[in-house]
Amino acid sequence: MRLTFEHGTVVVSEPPDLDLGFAPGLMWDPRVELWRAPARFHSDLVRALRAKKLPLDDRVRPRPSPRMPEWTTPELRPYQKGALMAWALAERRGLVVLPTGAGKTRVAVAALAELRLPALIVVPTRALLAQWHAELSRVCPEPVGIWGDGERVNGTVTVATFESAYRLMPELGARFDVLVVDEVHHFGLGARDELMEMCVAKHRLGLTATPPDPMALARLEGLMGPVVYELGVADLSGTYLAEFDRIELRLPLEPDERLKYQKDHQRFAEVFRGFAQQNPGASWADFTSIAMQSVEGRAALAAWRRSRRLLGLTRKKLAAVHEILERHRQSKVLVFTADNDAAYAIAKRELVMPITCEIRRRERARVLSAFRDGSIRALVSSQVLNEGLDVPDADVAVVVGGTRGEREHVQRIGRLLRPSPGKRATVYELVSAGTREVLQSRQRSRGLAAAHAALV
Amino acid sequence: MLPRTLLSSSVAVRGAEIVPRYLGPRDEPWLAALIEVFRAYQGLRQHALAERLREPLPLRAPRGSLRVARHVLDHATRVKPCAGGRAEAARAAVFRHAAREPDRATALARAAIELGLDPDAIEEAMFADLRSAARVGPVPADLSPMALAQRANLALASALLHRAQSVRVTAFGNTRALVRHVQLVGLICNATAQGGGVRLDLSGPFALFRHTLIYGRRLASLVPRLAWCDRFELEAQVALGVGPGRVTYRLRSGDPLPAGRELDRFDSQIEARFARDFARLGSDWDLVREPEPVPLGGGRLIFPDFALVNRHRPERRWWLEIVGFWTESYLRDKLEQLRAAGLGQLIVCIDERRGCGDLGLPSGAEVLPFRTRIDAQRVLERLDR
Repeated sequence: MRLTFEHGTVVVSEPPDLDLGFAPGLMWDPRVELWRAPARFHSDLVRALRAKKLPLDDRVRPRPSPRMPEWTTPELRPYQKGALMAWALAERRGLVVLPTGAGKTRVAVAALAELRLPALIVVPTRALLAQWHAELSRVCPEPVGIWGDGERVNGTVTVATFESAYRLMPELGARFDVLVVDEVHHFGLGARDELMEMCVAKHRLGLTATPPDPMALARLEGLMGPVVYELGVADLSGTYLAEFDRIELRLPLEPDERLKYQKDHQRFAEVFRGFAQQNPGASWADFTSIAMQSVEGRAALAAWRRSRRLLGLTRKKLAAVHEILERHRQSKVLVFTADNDAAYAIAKRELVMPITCEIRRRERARVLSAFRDGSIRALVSSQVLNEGLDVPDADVAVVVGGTRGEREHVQRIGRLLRPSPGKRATVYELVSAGTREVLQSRQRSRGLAAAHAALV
Repeated sequence: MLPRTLLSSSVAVRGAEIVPRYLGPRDEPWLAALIEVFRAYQGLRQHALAERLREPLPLRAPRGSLRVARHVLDHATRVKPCAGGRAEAARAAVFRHAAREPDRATALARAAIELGLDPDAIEEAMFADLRSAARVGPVPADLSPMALAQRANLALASALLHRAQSVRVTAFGNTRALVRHVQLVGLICNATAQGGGVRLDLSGPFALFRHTLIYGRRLASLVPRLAWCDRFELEAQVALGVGPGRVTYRLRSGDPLPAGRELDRFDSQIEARFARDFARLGSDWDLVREPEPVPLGGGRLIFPDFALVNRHRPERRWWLEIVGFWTESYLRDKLEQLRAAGLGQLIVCIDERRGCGDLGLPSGAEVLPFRTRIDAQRVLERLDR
């Protein structure tokens, strides 16, 4: 009986004359008259078939991979050691949840250094691709491969964007023994989960600051393993993370903005209320799917989008950003907006460097370096700075708007929490009074252990 | 590719069938008006065009269809924003001075002096490379209202195939190129003879386990290639994402899609070069491109790349197959399959650079590895051996 890798699946050819339905993941494929399993079941499959003493010719991973030469092992803090140990005890499958700034990357690098096996690290953005590649190149004794941002270089250890990994996994998913998924909360909802299903890697490590909802988490447990270690901001604040103050600024809308907002909000709320009454417990995705099918529904969604755009950057918010930047001229400031349009509007008016997906890798690296050495004092971004990007020593954040709730908020605030002696960070949240932002602000702040909140 | 919101506003679902709203002759007047608007805004900022298109066209246009046509025209007239280096230099100077100077005007003035620009010009230059600053490009000269309608229909059909789980194509005439394309993109293809034509059942390997969009691009790539065949009918099981389960989408010859590109005589440069090299040898063998499909048993068909027929003794016949991505087990299965079909006199040319997985070669096979070019002389030596 032979096992081969075919487009993200493991195929059994020349099977014995018996029903293999007992083996994990295997299904009979009537299209080619062979047994087939998603590639992630490979090691379980081999174990199950060997346990039945069936003769097996495994062509997927025919022999154990040779270990790479010694890596430069990174120094770990006690909680990072704890995370690594918990992961090892869970048969090296599972998720490590640590707040932004607590050094998740370092835990993964230590795990890779310990195993020294072929590994694929997948990351959500091109910015993180460059950052991981640089980090691994410092400690890995072999050239580190890279898939994404226009490059395709294979290495025993390879870093890939989600997009490139998703595209290449059917072809190259049999090459790796270890799979590391950074910002793993992006998965578990079905879309693009094939990335994890089509890879044979036995050892799997997922990293996140914000685990997804229980349903996605249950699905991720099958794909990557359970949460094996979890610490929140409050666990590390004041010791390994900087302390911070949260200041919420409630800002009124101008009369014309108020009129527009009320009109659009009412139009949306009428349709949404009707839907919610008829479909208790339905999700936002359910609502948008149904709404797209009727004229009123589409109009409601358009009104909702308009009102969101309006709230994203009101005139009072723009004035508040100016005031805060003036007040913190000696600080390093990160400004977070709901969308790129708002980011560019602030960039133009306040002369703050924007970091968006349109700013290329080389310029972004130069700008971050200038921000580190203080020759640029503020950055504005809608998405790019949200996750993982290593921005040390920022001490003021201005949250002008957001679209992705609690998780996004925790990730953003994490940008400020890298500790330095005597540091105390400040987070300004700009909230339009008398709008849905008040409730949203309350919801998204639940994940934070705020030192104090002040209403101005 | 059409976004999902455009897709759902361009199709209706009746029972379990998708009814696409194709554009046709009745739409040509408003399509002509739309093209004229794009022409009038050529060279201007895209956001100015977007503002104009918020207003209605001079002729009434169905909302969903207008959005699809506009999407296609946006792509056809897209011009990459230029001045990347200059904009980057402007940003570097402005933001560096902004950190030091007390106010905006001074920072801009200092940066302008540094770069030898006017302060107004530097504000303009700072974001000249961003998408929002992009300008409307020229409308392609051959894009008539009818051509735009057909391109929009092609985009719609491709988007539906992008969400397909499985596809069945029944095709007549010139089917080989289609089969070859399907094999190249790695879909599972069961080909069976059907009333003088070929029926192809297509799906991705992973589709056995659950609905996946991972093969969407490959399935969508079929659409422009279907027109290669003399006649076809396609039936796809599609998950639209609204409403229950899957619905059926049908596409037939005669549907208003653009005519397929003229077929290249050869599928790849490798094949073209091999045919040329082989002809230059001046041997006793004729190279037959696209020989007839060979029955495999059970109604299945295979499509060898070339037949090599001896000019003086036509019963002496070899088959030549060129293989892209391969593993030892893949080659062994392929050889067994071809031998079972009675193609014993067989040479398989494999691309050494594209081997993956188990990298041995099956013993006893006439396997000829190549890198950039198939050695025609070595092929001839094997024929004459």
